[in-house]
Amino acid sequence: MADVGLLGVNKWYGDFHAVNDLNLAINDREFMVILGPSGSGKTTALRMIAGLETLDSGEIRIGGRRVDPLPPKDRDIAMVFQNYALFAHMTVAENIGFGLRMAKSPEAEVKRRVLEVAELLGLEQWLSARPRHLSGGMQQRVALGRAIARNASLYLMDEPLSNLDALLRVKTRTEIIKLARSLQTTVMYVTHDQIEAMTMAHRIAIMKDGVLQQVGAPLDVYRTPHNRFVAGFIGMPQMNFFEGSRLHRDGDQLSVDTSVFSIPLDRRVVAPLDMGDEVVLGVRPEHIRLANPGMTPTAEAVVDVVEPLGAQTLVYLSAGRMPLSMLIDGHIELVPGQVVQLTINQDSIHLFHPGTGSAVPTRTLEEAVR
Amino acid sequence: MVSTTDASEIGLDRLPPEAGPVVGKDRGASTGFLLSLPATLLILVVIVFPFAYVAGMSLYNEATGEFVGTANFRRVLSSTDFLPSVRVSLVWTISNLVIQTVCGLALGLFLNQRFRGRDAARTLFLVPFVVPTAVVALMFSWMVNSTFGVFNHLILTSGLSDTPINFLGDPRFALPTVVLINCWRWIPLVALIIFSILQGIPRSEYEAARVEGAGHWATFRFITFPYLGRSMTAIGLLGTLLTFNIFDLIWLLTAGGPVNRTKSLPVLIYEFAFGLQNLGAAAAASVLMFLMLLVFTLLYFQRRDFKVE
Repeated sequence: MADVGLLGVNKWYGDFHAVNDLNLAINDREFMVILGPSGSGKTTALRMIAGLETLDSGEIRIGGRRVDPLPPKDRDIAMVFQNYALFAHMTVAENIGFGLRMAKSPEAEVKRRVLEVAELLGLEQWLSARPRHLSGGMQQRVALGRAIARNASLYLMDEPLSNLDALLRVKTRTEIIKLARSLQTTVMYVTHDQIEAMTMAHRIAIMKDGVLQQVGAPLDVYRTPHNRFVAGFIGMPQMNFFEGSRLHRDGDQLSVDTSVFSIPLDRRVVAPLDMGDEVVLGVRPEHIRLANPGMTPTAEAVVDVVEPLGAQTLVYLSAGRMPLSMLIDGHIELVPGQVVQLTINQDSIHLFHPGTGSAVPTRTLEEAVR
Repeated sequence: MVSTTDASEIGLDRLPPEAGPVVGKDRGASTGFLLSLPATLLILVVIVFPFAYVAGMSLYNEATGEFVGTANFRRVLSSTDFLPSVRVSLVWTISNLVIQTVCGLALGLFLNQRFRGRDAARTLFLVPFVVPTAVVALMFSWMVNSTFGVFNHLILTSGLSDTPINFLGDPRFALPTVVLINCWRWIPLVALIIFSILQGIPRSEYEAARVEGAGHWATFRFITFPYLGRSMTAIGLLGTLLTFNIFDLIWLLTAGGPVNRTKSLPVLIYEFAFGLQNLGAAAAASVLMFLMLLVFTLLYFQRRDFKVE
């Protein structure tokens, strides 16, 4: 139980700016996921909080206490590593009890706590086994057990699920959420998997190239990405981007025009953009729909590939020479080569600055005034 | 696509029938035999045959060619030199192993630290091992020489002693001196082996230990040592046998003297063979030494570390 603050944290590896002026505040008992592709600096950031990497500049506070000059053991943290990092020559019980023994807890207390944790994680029958005799999923539980045996005020998890197979990953994901909730503790969880981030986090911090891109609740990040990178990284399947689109005004009618279709906008765009300026139009596959008969379609497209997922079907199409994807109800059947009419709701579009990639606010003037 | 392909389409039907299952059962067995044949022959020629020949020799009077039964063994066992030699060999082997393990471990741990010039240090470390034994012996003979040696110069000028020490000639110092010279030669190799084992220990285990609050000593005791222990048991066996069998360095430095203080079993065997010209007794002593090492090896393999779990 502690809040965490990173203030102007920088880390260089030679010429490589691994973490670039990172400012991030994590609330007490918050489940914060740091999300990003490999090389984004997310693991480095976590390791700096753990004390396994030094800072080149900046400050880290845990529970109001400045910890960056302290060694890991004095930071009151526990960590779960990607490859579990279990002690190969110790039994499961010894692994779980290691931290308590190092803290010189009385032996009876260690035994009691190890049993308690083993019970919580379903490891009772494995207590005298060595880690290498356990499956990956069991090893992961032992790693979790070792972390929670000591009541640390901050739990750091570095891609703890990435070595598990798909089914087990979903199961363990749920268990970690339950565990974090029952422990009432602060968790920082690093992953490159946006589904993990969306499902587990109270808030997500998205990083790229060492720079924090956006921090927010999962749905906020999904609905209002601050830039094109976040828009593309969050959401499965990925958002469609239409390069070279332009804002266009014809009398009172405002629209955003791609080379093939045009989406009318019945609101004014509050943007540092002039009419005719180039923008990147972003539309999520789930926001493209088949036009009902009688509706004016936004675009016409040819079906290229159909990927049924069960409940939903992912369809790849070509509108003119522009590829796009769309997610529709699983009961609708399309065949490759079929020509379909599409509609795109103007409320669900995103506009991005073509150079910087930052989002162009599309609030109406009225909203802005309110 | 695949389902419409049949054998004729891709020409499988034109292959001769015997080309089908390339790795048949019999074929695999005979291939295995053929592949292991060179190694088997080599072992037979350089190890088994010579040993059988020596074992045979031990039962004959090599000068007259007459069969003497156990006479050579009785001759060796009743020799006043035999038991002292066994004792010298044991002291030699154990002290070498202890010193080399302790110093090699310390140096290996030191090499495992990151510091400037570590790679250069690693290369330099191999120098003692690359120098030929004869050169090592000659070099140290001069360095420990009681009149001109650099060690005695240091001892006299520092006032540690008023008189020079005859390292190789004084019965009190001869064996320790030879042991230390041998250690000088082998410690770097031990250090490099330990260093390579240390490099193989997952870094994340160390990191986990740091996060869990382990200090330097606990980290060594609970992580480094268990990893080293396993590999060291195998290397320990090898080191024991190698060290026990060392003849050249001892012979070149002291020839077994003074007053037999450095006469280990290999030196004794050499003396039987080429000093006393008694090849039968030398063969008998060799067989005895072989049996001692064999018993040791068999006992060593009883250790838990060698058992498959």
